[in-house]
Amino acid sequence: MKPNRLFLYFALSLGSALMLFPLWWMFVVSLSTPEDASAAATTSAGGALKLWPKNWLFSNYPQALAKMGSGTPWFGFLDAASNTILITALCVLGQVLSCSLVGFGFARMRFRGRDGLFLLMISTMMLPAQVTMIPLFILFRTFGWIDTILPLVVPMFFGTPFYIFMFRQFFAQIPEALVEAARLDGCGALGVWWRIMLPICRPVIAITAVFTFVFVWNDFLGPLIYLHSEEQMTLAVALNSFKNQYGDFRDAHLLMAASIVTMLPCIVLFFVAQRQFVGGLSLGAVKG
Amino acid sequence: MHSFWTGLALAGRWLVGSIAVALFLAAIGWIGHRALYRTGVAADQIQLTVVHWGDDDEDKIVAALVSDFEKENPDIRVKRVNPGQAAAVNTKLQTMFASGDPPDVMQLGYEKVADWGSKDLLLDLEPLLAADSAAKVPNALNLADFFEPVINCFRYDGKRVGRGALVGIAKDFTTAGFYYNKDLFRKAGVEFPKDDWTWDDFIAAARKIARLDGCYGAEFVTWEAMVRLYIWTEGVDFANEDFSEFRLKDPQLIGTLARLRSWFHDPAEVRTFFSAKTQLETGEDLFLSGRVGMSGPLGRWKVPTFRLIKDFDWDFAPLPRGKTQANGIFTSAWAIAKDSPHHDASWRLVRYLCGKRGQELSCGPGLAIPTMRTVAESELFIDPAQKPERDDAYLAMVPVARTIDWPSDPRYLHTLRTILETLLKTGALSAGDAMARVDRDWSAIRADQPVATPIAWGRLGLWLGLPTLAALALGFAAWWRGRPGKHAFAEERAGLLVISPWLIGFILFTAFPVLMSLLLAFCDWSGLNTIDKARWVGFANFTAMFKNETFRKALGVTAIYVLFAVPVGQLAAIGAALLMNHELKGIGFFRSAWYLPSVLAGVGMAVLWKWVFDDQSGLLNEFIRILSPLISTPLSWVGISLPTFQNIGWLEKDAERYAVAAFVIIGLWSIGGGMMIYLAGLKGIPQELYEAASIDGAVAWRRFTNVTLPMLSPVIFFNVIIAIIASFQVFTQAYVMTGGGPGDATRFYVVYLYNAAFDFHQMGFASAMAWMLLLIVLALTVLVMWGSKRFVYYEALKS
Repeated sequence: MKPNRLFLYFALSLGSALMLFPLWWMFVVSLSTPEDASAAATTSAGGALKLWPKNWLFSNYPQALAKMGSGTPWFGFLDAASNTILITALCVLGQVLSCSLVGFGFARMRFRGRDGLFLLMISTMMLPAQVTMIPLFILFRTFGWIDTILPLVVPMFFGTPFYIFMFRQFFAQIPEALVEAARLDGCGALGVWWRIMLPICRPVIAITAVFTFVFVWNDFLGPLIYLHSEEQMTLAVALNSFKNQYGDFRDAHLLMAASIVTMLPCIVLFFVAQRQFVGGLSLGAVKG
Repeated sequence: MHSFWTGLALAGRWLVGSIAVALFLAAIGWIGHRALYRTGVAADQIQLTVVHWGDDDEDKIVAALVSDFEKENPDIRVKRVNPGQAAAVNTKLQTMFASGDPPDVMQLGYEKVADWGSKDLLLDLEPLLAADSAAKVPNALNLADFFEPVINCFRYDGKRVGRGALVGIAKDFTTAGFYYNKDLFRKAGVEFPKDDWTWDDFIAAARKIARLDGCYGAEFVTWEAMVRLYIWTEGVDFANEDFSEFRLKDPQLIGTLARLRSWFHDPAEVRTFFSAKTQLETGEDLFLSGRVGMSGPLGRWKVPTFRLIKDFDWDFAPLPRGKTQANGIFTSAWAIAKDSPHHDASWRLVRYLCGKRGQELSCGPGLAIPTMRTVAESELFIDPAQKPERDDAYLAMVPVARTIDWPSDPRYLHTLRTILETLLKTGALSAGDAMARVDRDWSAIRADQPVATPIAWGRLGLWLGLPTLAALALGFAAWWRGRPGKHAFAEERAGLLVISPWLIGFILFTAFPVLMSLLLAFCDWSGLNTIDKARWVGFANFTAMFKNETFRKALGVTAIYVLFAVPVGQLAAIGAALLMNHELKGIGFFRSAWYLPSVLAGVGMAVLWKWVFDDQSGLLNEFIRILSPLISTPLSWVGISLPTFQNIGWLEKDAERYAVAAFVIIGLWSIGGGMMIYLAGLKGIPQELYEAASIDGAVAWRRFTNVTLPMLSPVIFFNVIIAIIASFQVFTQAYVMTGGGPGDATRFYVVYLYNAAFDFHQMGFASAMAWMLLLIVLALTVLVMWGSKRFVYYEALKS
């Protein structure tokens, strides 16, 4: 293997630049003065594309965050951030536990109807979310869950087909001898899952956790529909309200600052988990 | 050295981990503190929910009013919900009404009066007004203090807007006209608009200003309401007063519209008009740049923005006249839900919001005209210290301003909007053809009155329930009879127990909603009242679907998108994965960088893409312009000359041809997910295969076609299916960026489905569409599966 390294680096860097450029642009705008920001956002107004911040106005950040929500300064942001963190943490926990358990069941337990049920589960992946949106709302309302975090969190404890599928593929590859050994040591099904399976499937757990984190963190429609009061809002919804309140090009710098703060956890998490992630996928966890 | 870096990475991970834990604990602490200490609603207090929209300035006004109201009325607590833009408000209201839990007070736009009024959701406020004046309430509202035409915008008698029950009290309003750049007028030597200027004066001024270097004559807003004002000035309209009779074949109407279209698209009109788009969502405003002479028809709401202009002088002029002078009233009101349990408290709130103090506050930012005459005619509104100078021009139009009424079925308005966009923005239709199409669509909507009967629950239950029960019983019996020995049976029970979370979740959160939506697909239900109001219509929703031109267009646009997005996206992802499959230093960084965009979602992205695809100075057009000589120069050597590159209006005037391409390009930006999965597949190919191939003398390309591709084929198969499913459901970007327009150019399937559910209140039709989508995707998946048998190589099946 001796590909032209220079060319490879060139292609990789060019691609990275294209991919990261928008993010950088947001960052530059977020540090600008209101005048520069509106010039950058109103391109046809002759605004030039600025690649380097003229001023490093980090004060835009506290200013933007303090303005979130409509009550006491900072409360809107602190409420939204806390809610989002709590919801996301619970969702990740629920998703990892339920999907690994169910995936384990489909991979390693023997019962009649297993393959049929598995096929059923796979086919539900094709269902557009729009089909179930309104009926689900009615259901959660009968439970009295509206304006609580329950409609967002509880379903996560019942598994999601995509991740169950991934766990199942992974578990199916684990040598039977390992499971037998545990059984002989007196482990029940739950024991095997908890003591043997979970510890060795860390890559899949990482993928599930990261994907779930990103999805829940960015989810807009769910919180919009199920949460009413401002106290309960998540960051995605708060950011959208923020956009509508400050979406005018006049406040582009504030909008970008708020957007970046909202995206930051996803970016950090991604860079930290990146190794696990790539390693996990390469274990063949998702082979059709 | 190595251990140093590993140590650093470990330390970094620990740091991030501890910060995460600390943040989590802090979040719990904050929420706990909030639950314990922030004042909630006391037992003897009434809680009112208010849904409204508005930007920061408006939000602050409502917040201030509400907080004062709470001080004066300690027995009432008000919960404000401001989801921001009107679309979010609609989704919000829809779910609240559908669940039987409507807000007590809500902001109602003038264009929704017939729609909401006809659903019988709003309380008639007239009796409350009468009761107040009878009881001599000190701060009672007196309608005589208000502008009468504005108040009448919120009357609805079951057929027409403008008379009948009062469903809301107008909070503020505006009429429309043109903002003009005085400096450009002087520079071009054009007289300032007079109060009775005509369209001829208008277009003459625009043409003169267009001759100035780099300037545009005018920016003409093509919203349907503005176009309606324009045709009113020529004494024509789309239909008669109550929309029972359409006048779309009227040659005078067609001529008037053709004139407007020619100002946009006639080749002789060089820069007379700038793009028809001046909406806030583009985040840009050409008028502000000082390069456009006039901007309109627009209302008062532009004033706060324009007041920031420092570089040139500007003012407001009334709408030009044609055969006659005309104008319309743009307004919103406070309304009370009929189903609210707190009519009295809600009315006290509305009375306060519409009262004198509220009216005076709303003058502050300058974005609307108070509906109370005394306030509007006071110095508070007509503020000589503030621009525009001609505050009185808005008020002078009130006598000729009419209620901009639309039929109660929102589909009329929607159809008109998209066709007008096609007529004026993209110019793809002539005025005659456009009106003929409106006529067809409107007639189809009028004829679409399916026979609705109450749902025969008993019969339905019998037909569906009995077979289901029988099947379940049979299945269970078969399962029970075939149960294996005691030991195996224990394992079986354990297995079912282990998968039970999914099983329960499936029944509750998938099977039940799916069956319910299947039922809805055969029903007519607005989604604005509780589901027991649904009516059975049989297959009417499905037959209506295929007769519906917009549906066919949406399906077509989506199919084209899938046809391009899936192969292009998958090829790019495979290419990226091949690049990433080299063990280079820093490859982790590159992988992360390429993947990162897939992790990000958000409003910032939409703003950004708008800017990339901008037709005047967007990044993409610049890029193509720079690169185009690379192709055209070599061709010119061999005698082929290509036309010089013209700016492409990706999402605007050339949207019919290029909008789908734009979305395919956007999709390329998030190939990271597919790339990662392909990379995993590449990593899974045993190295020995490559070695064996090399020994056999295979060159790189042969190794790729004979080893990589076959070994990767299951992953390709998996990704293609996922991509097809995802591409058919493309929604968020289109919804946020273009809202389906211009015309129907980007009205993807799910966008239209969303329109049907939340804009047209046709839950049944939307459910039918969702089911149709499911069938289409299912059929395609089966097709791909069947077609792939020859190409997909399964290691497991060979052994």
